[in-house]
Amino acid sequence: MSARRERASLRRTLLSIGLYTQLALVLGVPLLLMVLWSVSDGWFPPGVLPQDYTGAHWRQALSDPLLGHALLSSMAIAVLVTVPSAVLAIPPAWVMSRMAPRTRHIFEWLILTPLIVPGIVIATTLGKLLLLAHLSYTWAGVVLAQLIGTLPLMIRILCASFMRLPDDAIAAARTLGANAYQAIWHIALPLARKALFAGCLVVFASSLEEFDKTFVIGAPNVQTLPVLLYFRLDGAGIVFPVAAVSSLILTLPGLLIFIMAARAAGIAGQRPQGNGIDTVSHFDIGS
Amino acid sequence: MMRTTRPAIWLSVVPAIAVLALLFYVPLAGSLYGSVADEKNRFTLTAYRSLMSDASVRRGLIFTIEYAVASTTAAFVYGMAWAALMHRAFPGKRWYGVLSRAPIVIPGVAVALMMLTLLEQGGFLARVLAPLGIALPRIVRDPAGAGTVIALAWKEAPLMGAIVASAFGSLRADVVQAARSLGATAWRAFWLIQVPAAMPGLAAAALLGFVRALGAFAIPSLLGPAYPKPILVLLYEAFEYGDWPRVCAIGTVFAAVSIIAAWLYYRVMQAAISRETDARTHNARYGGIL
Repeated sequence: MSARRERASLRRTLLSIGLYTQLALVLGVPLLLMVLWSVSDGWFPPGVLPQDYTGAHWRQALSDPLLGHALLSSMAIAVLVTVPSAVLAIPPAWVMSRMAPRTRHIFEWLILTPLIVPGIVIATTLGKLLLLAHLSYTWAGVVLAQLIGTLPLMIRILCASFMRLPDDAIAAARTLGANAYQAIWHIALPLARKALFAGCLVVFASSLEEFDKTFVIGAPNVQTLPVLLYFRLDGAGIVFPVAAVSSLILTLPGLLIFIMAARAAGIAGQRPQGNGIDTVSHFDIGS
Repeated sequence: MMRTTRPAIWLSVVPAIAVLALLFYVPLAGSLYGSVADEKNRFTLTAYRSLMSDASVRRGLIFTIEYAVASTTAAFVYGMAWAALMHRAFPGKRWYGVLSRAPIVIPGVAVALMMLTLLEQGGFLARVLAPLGIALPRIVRDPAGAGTVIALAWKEAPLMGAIVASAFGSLRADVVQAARSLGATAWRAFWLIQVPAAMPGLAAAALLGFVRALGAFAIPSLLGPAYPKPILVLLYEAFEYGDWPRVCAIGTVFAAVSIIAAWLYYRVMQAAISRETDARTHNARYGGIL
């Protein structure tokens, strides 16, 4: 019996070693290559590792006006997208969470669709309208285009969270004389504030990394970080160390938010599926 | 059950509906109209006909479908393996689960750079393999689209794993237990019971992955060859040239495919969720034995 248990435990350890090795090769190596390129000082063939290391690329990045400007644009646009997404999403999320399932399903499908239609298709069909409204190649145009993706994300997260609220709490507030608004503001929103916060983080991160719509509507006037990186990779003369620095700056916020979200979900003891954050990462249509 | 039927609540929903309708559904309808109407608003299929007769569009469409099928297949196989392994217990499982899903949040443009440093001629892989006497063929910006396939599969695989896992997770555990207690091996129970039962969810996962791969822009345009061009790169170029009928025609076709896929995916997932709820109440009622 104990020999069998030992064998099972050995198998589990071997499985774990195998999976972590696979992870190191498939995820670790590409990420490490980016980090190495960003600090490399000469990396010529046939060298498997850089000839020398330097912090110069990161120092240069700090004084690179294009990169600084792109980072600021990305942050500002992300804030400008997150705030209206959160505010506009609360009422429909609430109404949908209290609907009869049959009606709710229609709305859920209508809200899922903008997340599945490719960003390039959304942006090019929207492009003519924005041209007529003189909003093409402006920040406002980019914010509007990104809202098409972030608003449905936010509604999905909030609706999932509102649906878990017990009806009793709301009913109690209503019996005690609160109107629907007061019930939402004083009962539902405080109870759903974790989902609201998570939703804001996810929307912020997805705005930071949004490429397709920003590129079609905004480029080259509005240069966010992904757009700048695209221009730096498109063409023959790629400067790998510089591209690696911008790429890492672009990747880090999303990764951090993802790991934070995973930890939060773990602490709450929820199943991997079913918490708002995870549903969202399924549809977080990264460009 | 409390229903908020007050008009004031409905009024507060208007801004969100207006944003989505004006920015998404109206342009989509406009694009459908623009694809079948000429300047004098008469019905015509010229836009679609000119698409079909354009060799670069035909080649581009075939090329796009090819790399989407290849990358989705690869991602799906990985996703199945991932979901099967995540069924087992092993040390460090939680962090493996988190870290292995990280590619979901890595932006496509950054994935493109990673694959360039890794796979380009003279890149890392070529340098590691050179001392062994192995010379790599052209993988990035190659006519076959291998670089695009690898990058798309790399990015999509964890998402596929998550959806496949949720398709399996929504099954009733007791049926498998019954099969096992009747003498089926875990392997047989998996193929003969779990896979058929999870088939709608698996099909939905594959469909969603395929549509996402079709709709990818940054990765194929950075890692793909100069010819044939991915169909969405042709769409973008038509937009830049101001070839509006062509933008409308390609956009309409893609939107139609995506909307149908969204509907199928949604239907299947909804069915899975209600089955899961049934299974849970069932398990709770009978203590997971029956």
